[in-house]
Amino acid sequence: MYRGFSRVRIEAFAGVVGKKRLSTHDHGLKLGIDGKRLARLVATTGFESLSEVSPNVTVGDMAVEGFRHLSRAVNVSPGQIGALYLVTQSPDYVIPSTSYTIQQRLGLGEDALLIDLAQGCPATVLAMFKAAVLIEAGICERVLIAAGDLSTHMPPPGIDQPESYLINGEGCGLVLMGRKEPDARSGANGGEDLFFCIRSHGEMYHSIIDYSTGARPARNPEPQTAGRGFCVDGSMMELYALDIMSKEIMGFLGMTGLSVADLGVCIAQQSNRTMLRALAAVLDADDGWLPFLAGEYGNLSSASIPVVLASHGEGLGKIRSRPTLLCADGVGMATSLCIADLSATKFAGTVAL
Amino acid sequence: MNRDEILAQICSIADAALDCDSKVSECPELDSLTLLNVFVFLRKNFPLLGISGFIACRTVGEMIDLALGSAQEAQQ
Repeated sequence: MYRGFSRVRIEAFAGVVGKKRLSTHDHGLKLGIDGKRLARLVATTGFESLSEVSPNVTVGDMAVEGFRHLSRAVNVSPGQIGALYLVTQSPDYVIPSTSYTIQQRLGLGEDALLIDLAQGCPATVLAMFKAAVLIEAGICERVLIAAGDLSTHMPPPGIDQPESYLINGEGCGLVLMGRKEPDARSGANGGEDLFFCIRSHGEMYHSIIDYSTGARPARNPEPQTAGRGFCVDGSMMELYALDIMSKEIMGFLGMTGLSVADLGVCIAQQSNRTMLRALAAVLDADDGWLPFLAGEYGNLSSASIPVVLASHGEGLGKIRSRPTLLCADGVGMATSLCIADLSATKFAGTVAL
Repeated sequence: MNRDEILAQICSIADAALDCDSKVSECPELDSLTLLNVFVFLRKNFPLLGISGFIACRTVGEMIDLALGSAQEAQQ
């Protein structure tokens, strides 16, 4: 699905990260990984440390603290929030949805829409698209997105590849979107200056899957999945990002009439440094156009893009003068792309929990 | 860039003594992230190299053949 919007602006990004930075190298040694292999792993992933929040902190807690931080930065009150999208794969409870458990702590009124999305990396940009629909339609003046995940760094005993526990970090990203008057000067199509391209590839859902969760394992498991847990097909992930998604990016640019050179920077899902370098190579772009900014955090799942923008956005060269491409892919499989004018967006920084 | 030069670069990236018969599935040094680094190197030197063909390679020699083949296709 491709859509442009003329009455929607991205007001601010904020982030919550852990107080603790777990040294990837030191932790890897504790997990029994060979030093040489560990050094190569850190060099290729780029994750020198992983963000860890305090053990008693949940995604709901991060969302509440993140909104406090964001509301101070942009002077927005809870009563102005018409809808909340809470994005997580590690909810406070399965029943009820996490958004309801934090509604009062956030100060959101009874008229606010509360919507939870149980999805990973692509979901923040997907939620931004849904927020844009609500705002453009005049249903909401402002929509808040809070996207976060928790992660364990201790593999269960006997696992073959403990390296996979040295990739993900914990955090929460917040995005505030609001209504604006169309800018007749910008955009080629009736003032549209915010564009989304959402692509869904459910036929590849086995690429990242946790076979131990949900009702299907007990009620009607798929053949040959019994006893299997969290599984990632690394080759399929690479094929998806570098073949399917790269073509979707070029198609998206074609629809908007833009080229890589027209965009100031691309903020992609921070899956790892090597993947971003490979994606830049496929797109014939410089590494600096598609920066890796999450070396101290790890892959923060759906929080990845808002957290790195909150913490590094202000220092990115052309982000104030040219459109920015946001690019996320993963669990689903799915691709969520957004081209946005961030010239007046507040990059509110992060708080630590 | 000739075959030997490409092989030397792949060995350097993987920090391992590999030859054209080295099988991806049997070399622990050729993990998925290292392979991505190999792909980045090859792609910068052979811009028409595609990821789907690269992932299908079973040996280091097949990777080199694929890269050199893409250069020949470009010339034609």
